[in-house]
Amino acid sequence: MLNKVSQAGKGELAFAGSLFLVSLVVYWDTHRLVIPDNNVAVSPRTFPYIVATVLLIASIALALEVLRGRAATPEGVDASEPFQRADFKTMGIIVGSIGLHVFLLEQTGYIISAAISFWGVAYAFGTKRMLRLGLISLIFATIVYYSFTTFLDIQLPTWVLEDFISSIGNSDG
Amino acid sequence: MGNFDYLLNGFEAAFASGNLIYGFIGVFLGTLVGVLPGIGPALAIGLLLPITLTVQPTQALIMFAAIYYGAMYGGSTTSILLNTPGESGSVITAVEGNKMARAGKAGAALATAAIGSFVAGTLATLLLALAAPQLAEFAIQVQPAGFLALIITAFFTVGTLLGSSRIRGVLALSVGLVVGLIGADLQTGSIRLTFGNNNAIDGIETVTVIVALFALGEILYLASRFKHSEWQVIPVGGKAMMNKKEWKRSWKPWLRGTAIGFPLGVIPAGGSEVPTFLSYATEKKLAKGENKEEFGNGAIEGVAGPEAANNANAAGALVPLLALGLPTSATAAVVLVAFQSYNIQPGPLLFVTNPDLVWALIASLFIGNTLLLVLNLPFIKFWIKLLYIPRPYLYAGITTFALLGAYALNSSIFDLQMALVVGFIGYLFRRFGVPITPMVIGAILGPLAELYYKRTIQISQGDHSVLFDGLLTKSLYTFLLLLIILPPLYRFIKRGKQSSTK
Repeated sequence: MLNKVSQAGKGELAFAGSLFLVSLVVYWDTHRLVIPDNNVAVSPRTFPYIVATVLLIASIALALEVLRGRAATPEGVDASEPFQRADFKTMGIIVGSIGLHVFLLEQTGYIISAAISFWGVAYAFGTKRMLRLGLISLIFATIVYYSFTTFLDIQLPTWVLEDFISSIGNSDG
Repeated sequence: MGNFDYLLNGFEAAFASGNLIYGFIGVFLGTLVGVLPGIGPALAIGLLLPITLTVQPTQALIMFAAIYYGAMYGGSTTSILLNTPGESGSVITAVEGNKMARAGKAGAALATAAIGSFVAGTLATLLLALAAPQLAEFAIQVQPAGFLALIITAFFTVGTLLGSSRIRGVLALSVGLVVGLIGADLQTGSIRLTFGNNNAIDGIETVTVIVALFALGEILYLASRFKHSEWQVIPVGGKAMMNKKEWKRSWKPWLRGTAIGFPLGVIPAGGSEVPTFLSYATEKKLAKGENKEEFGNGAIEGVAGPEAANNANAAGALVPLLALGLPTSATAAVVLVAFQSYNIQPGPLLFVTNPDLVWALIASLFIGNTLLLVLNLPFIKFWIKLLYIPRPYLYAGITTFALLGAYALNSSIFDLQMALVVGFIGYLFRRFGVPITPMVIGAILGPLAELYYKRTIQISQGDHSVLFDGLLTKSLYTFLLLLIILPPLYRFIKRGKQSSTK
């Protein structure tokens, strides 16, 4: 049966399989749930069990659907178009630069981390002129930072490197 | 005081200088983000939610209402000139609108979309002002069991009507429900699905889920297909105007679109895809002679009808949101979050406890709609320039704002990490044709469903039969049952007939 499934279908089977696993995790987590002693009419277990069951059934149904040869049509793609392998390189650069943003935000402050992620995403989508992109990234991040902190009073990690250094100093002492 | 007096007071409040400014900022920002390809109304409001931290409730809600309508107007411009719909309700507009633009009739397409949106928006807002208080009055008597039935109906209509496949709709819904489970249980305090992470005890922030699903998921999906896509802006010759014949061909589709869009927004039919498609099909069927032949090559009815349906649908979705506290589309779900960030719970009591706020909101919808017409007809050239932003910069900008939106609400790195995870789920959903909206609805309404379920069972002291008490619950569950049984039955009978004729 499996050899009838196309390349794209195999990916979808893996997708259905991982959702199946998620439903098992929900069962397991609900099973070991600590329930406080107070008297409640409905256990906090009931609803998660229902949700896990719906997910379980839906994921099995999806797998069967794929095995019957009815794989998904990706969003915005005509069913007649041939299957295209995902561009993992472009995706990887983007995930990497978002990850870097998350990691750096409270280390270097907003402006630097946002400039880096802006640069990374634009680079992934094919910008050629690196110097210009670098400048635009920095200017854009600075404008965003100041407009959100001054006009909207939203707290963002500041840019000052000294804070970072002094915080290391403080933790030592 | 009658509702009409309330509405007049609402206008007074909306025109108060401070509030009018926010309405104007709202329509401006709404059009701005609506025009940008890749940002729909749900994401637009999600990105601007941090504003609720500093602005007064009335002003913020006026602004969000204006963004809501503005993003609809902006979205149609993009789909006509770019054939890359900014939001799902504009997909149908893109079919005929883009063909019209290619045939050199971009001005007429833009004009019929904008004026149609105005007509439909105004009529539908009027219907909203009439219907919402009535529905709220009725809903005050609804028991928790009735609300549970309403939510379950919403779950399944959104799940099964959206997307090409019911299985995938239900799958999306249940993933959303799992996300809604994460954190402490509201009544007993039992900690679910956090795996010992203390940051997750309060649950996953709804705004993070929405922003990550719509923005990061879309960016990753675009990246995965990077080499295989292209776009091209069609230049607009002349002004956004219609001639006499085009007016004549437009006004009936506008009204029919409103009639289709509004009721489908009120009942939980899940987003704007269904009404816009129905309106398109209706116009195609009703067209005669050479107009009919134009369908598929740029018929103005095919733009006028769906655009009106789209806007009327958006207004219709505000009825259950305001009167019942139930969002029926992703965008309405984000507006609900905006209310909740002020500890205002939309629902039957809203019209009693916060009449000033509700009526100022409704009045500002009328004002916003008028401002939008001005903003989108004479100044259309300005908005079109936005389409020429190079794609790498556009996507980088969307990513930056999405990350900011995910972080700023709680200043939490954990929220950002979750955004990355949820963004990847959003990518997988797009890749495997799973609709996004049911997941959002599940994540937001799941905890509410559990709450109503528990209340019902607590009142009845463990007796589950009360779940089906009352006319409302009975008719809703019957409706659901029919919705689940009928389509397969119909297919089965049809197949039987086909095989017997062979």
